[in-house]
Amino acid sequence: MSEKYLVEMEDITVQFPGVLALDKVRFRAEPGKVHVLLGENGAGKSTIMKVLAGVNTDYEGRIRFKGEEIVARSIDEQRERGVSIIFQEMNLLKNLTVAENIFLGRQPTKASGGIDWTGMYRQARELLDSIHSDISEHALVSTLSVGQMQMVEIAKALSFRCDIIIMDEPTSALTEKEVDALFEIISKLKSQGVAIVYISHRLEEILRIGDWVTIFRDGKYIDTVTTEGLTTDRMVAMMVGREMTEYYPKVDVVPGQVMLEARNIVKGHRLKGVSFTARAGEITGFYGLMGAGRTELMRCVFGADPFDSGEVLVKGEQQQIKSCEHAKRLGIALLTEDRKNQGLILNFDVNTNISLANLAPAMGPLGISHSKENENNKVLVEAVRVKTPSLRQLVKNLSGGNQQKVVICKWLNTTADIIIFDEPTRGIDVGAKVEIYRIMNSLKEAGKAIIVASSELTECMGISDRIYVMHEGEVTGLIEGPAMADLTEQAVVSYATGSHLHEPERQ
Amino acid sequence: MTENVLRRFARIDKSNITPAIVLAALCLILAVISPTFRTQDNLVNILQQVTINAIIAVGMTLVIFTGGVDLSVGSVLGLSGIVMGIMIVDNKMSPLIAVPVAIALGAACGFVNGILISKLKLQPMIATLAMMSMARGAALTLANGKTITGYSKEFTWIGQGTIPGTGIPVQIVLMLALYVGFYYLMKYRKTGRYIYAIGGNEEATRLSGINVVKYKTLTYTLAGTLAALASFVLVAKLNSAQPIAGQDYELDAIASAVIGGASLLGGSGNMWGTLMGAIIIGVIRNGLNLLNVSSNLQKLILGIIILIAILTDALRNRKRA
Repeated sequence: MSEKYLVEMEDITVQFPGVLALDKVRFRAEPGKVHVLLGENGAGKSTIMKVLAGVNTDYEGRIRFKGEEIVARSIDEQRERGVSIIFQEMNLLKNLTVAENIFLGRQPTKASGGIDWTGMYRQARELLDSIHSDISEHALVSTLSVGQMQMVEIAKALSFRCDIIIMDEPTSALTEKEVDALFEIISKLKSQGVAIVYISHRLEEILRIGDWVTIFRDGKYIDTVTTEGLTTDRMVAMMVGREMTEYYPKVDVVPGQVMLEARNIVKGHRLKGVSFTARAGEITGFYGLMGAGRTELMRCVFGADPFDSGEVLVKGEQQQIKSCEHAKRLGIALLTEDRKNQGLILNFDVNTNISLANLAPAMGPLGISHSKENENNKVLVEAVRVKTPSLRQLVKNLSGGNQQKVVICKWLNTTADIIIFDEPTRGIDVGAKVEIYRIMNSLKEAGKAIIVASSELTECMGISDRIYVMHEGEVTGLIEGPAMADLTEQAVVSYATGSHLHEPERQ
Repeated sequence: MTENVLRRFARIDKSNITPAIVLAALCLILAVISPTFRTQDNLVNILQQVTINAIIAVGMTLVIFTGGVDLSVGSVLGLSGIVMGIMIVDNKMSPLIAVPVAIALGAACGFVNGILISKLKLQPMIATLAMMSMARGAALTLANGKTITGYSKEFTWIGQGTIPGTGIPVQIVLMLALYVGFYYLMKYRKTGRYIYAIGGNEEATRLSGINVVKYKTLTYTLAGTLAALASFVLVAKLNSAQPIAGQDYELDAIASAVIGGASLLGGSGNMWGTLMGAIIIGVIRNGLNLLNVSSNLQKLILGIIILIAILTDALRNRKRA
């Protein structure tokens, strides 16, 4: 058998309820190389790596590891084999110290059987030093920033002896200095013959450290190419399967009046005095990393959460928004980031979900008229092109994209003219994404004020007319007007990581 | 043929017809083994015995639809009965005043439950457990150990009388009217929609701009009100108000809803199922009596039946998830 590859995965198929997450994909990794997995949210990058790491054990297909056929049955087993993974979601226990987290469940012990605390903290310090991190090993994780937590995750992964390390968006919350340190570590690991799987959305970064790039789209394997001679444009085209301009359709609308304005919104340490405006006939984007405060801000404006101080003006009038009910009456709609838990009643049918925010169109003389309701909702479902066998279909049986469209129908059924989309395309396939962008555009043309909060950089840059960039509860940048034309990813990222605060701005 | 009609009914309601089939099967078996069971007198008797539980179960079902539970209904029934008795018998007040006051008291107890649960975010189980103890304590204190008897014929009509010219017991008509009314509420009014929605996903409902606090409070208030209304029927039926009246009634009410297909997680089931559930329990009790099963053993058997219903619900939910 070919010993060239450390890992060979063939014909891997993973089925999630209602979605074919992976459709006979393959992936190979050579020792001492950085393998980049590229694809949009929901393309299946994380899913295949969770198979390899033994997190997702419900798969079909073959895995060959060091030339031997294996079955990935559990995380422990795979870790034993030498597979280490840094999760995208933070898996740290916030009430424990950094060192306790790194050695969770395998604390060094003394001869007496007790935990060797001094030894544990010393080893943690050594690990952190090796990645040039100045985080205290004694610090409680709850006191760390998101970027620091990511560094702890990396230190934890390095503490296992491994042949392959999977890094799922390791840099998404790191500052440039931390990214540089990470790349240095990666080079060192490479020279030791460790294979690295690197998942990232930052295209420039991929060109910097990647050796091979494997592209997934919609759960399917597209291609594997070398980074030599590769350009970011080429990567995007492969990722989305079409040209950028077609992918992010732009329409030109002359913006109208300011529909929504927030002044100095403060909420604990999550929002530290945020102000913004959103105009009619315009898509206002909010970009920020995890923990930047995008979602918190939107929830405050919508009355879903209380805030400490600040003002909200709707159509020029100051309002004390006390509840979502109140916000809805003022014409604000929020499509939450967590569709399944906050946007929909999964066990209810399409009809009931659409009518939830406004039953007025369904009311007859004797109360709810089910035929009127059907008629009304049918029009919406057709306008937004929800693919569902009937209005009676339970929402949980629809795909992510169609679920999101049901949420859109729900709010189009109201009189809302300020529509906030929080992570509108998370977990949605490419085709549906484009449709959702088109719906946003047509709403914009209809003179509604659209707000999009997104952690996907290309999306935020592609769809927005102006962009607020947030970092740790503050707006750190506003890009609008002519500046939008020659906007670079790096510029946005430097605002989002707060590194523009420490370094002179680069062109 | 009946099944066909039932199925059509069930499809409209998106629910299963299991409770109706279970009821039909039960009746068939009992009719075969007990000649007494199939007499008209006995069948009317069953319905009369079912009314109190069935009325309480209306409120309980509403609460269960929201994903909550109300353990205080039995005690609230006891308390409002005693208050009614004290006002009417001891203080010679008119039932026209006493009954509304006692029902308002039940509503107030329910309202307090509702506020504790929806606004102060207490667990429904805990909040209503406290209310259960408070209401029972108040009833016992007020009654001071005695049973209050001696009511006018006009008062007892609701529990003992019949609709003039028909011979149909008033309490059965009242029960059926409540089920029709609340069936309409749940199916054709916004309130009903929102109550289901809260049980389906409370956070999504709130974020759809619906006043969840208001509707949750309303369901508990209705549960208290209906418990007090049931106490009116019970006092009239027995011609006596007792401080310990209504003990364990919450269990029967929960069982009726669950046997009728309401999920304890909320968001599913319907009123008509609960009525079936209440009648099923009545039929089982009646059948066990006819078969001379001791009341102690009956309790055990009913416990097993409730367990089966809840297990079925749990397994159904696991499949759903």
